[in-house]
Amino acid sequence: MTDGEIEAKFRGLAGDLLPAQTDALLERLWNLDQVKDIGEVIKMVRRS
Amino acid sequence: MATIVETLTDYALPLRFEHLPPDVVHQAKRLLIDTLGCAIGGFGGEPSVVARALAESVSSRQPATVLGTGRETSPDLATFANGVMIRYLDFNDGYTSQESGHPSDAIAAVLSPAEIVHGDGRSVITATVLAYEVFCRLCDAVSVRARGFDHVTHGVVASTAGAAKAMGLSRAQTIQALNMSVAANSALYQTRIGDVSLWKGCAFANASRNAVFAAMLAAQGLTGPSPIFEGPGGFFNAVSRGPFALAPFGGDRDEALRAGVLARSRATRAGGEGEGQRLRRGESPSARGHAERGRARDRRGRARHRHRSVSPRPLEESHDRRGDRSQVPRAGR
Repeated sequence: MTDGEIEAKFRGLAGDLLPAQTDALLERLWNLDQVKDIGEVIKMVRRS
Repeated sequence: MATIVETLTDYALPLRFEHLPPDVVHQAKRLLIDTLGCAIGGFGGEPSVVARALAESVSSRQPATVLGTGRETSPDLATFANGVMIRYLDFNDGYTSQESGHPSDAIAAVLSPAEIVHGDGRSVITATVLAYEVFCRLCDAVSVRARGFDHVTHGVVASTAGAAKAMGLSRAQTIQALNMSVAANSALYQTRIGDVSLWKGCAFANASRNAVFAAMLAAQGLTGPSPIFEGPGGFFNAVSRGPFALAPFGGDRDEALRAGVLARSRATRAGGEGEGQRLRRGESPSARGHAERGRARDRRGRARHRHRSVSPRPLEESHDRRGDRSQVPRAGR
């Protein structure tokens, strides 16, 4: 799978539950090596 | 000679984010995105609802977050609920070898421990790569299914290594966490056959929960029995019905140098013995080795196109399908 296909799969799975956070969550995950506290990302996975 | 637990621990402890090649870091991010997507997609599944209800009935002074609701519970119950959601759709990555399973199931055992210690993204990536290394090398080494044991018996070892790494446990604590996990978690293969139940989607999550529990106990000073693989009542006699050695881990520099392969041949083998194992028997790096590395590169190329991209399937046993090997990250330095 390409990175684009991984993203498309993610959007397909996450879009219903987390429509508002999907873009921000993907941005944080692609830059996970820059995240200071993983709790920030985990707490973003919360239904809108 | 080092025990299996010592071998695992002495790989796990020195592993640093800085050792990971960029392509491994990138692949770990891809897998984390894929795995979290699967968890969100599995949110409404029946066992997910049950697992969350149980988890959210508990409060903890060391809280971890349940994915999807954002509610807090104990780290072990968060791991279980998150692990069930990751697995419920059976849409996460797969690894097929002597034993087979879904290495990303172990990511649940990385997330909650990392959260409680306020670990950074790099610690999550490193612990994820470690869990993959442990799970896939155990799957390469021995099948437990034929003897009636489920692959989560390997999974709990990977999850414990990942949890211990994410929590920053010491060498002694990591050894004890592994001893406890292996002693307590030989799971049965009936989970996958016959009247397949909702437990099929929960078995690895349960292994991850128990892995986090063992890591937390070890952090408090509890000890587990040893040598848990090699002892008369250990894994070799009771589960695998024979001893095995682990192939070199990705980035295991000394082993790789001895095998003459270094980091450029980090491809996943399609089962069978590795170059390192032949070297340990005194055989020289051979044309066979070069050919194997070439084939491994070819397989790696093909695997990129085979990573699961289909719609969620009904729950079914799928581990015998040889063509469903996803690319997994290998650590290197």
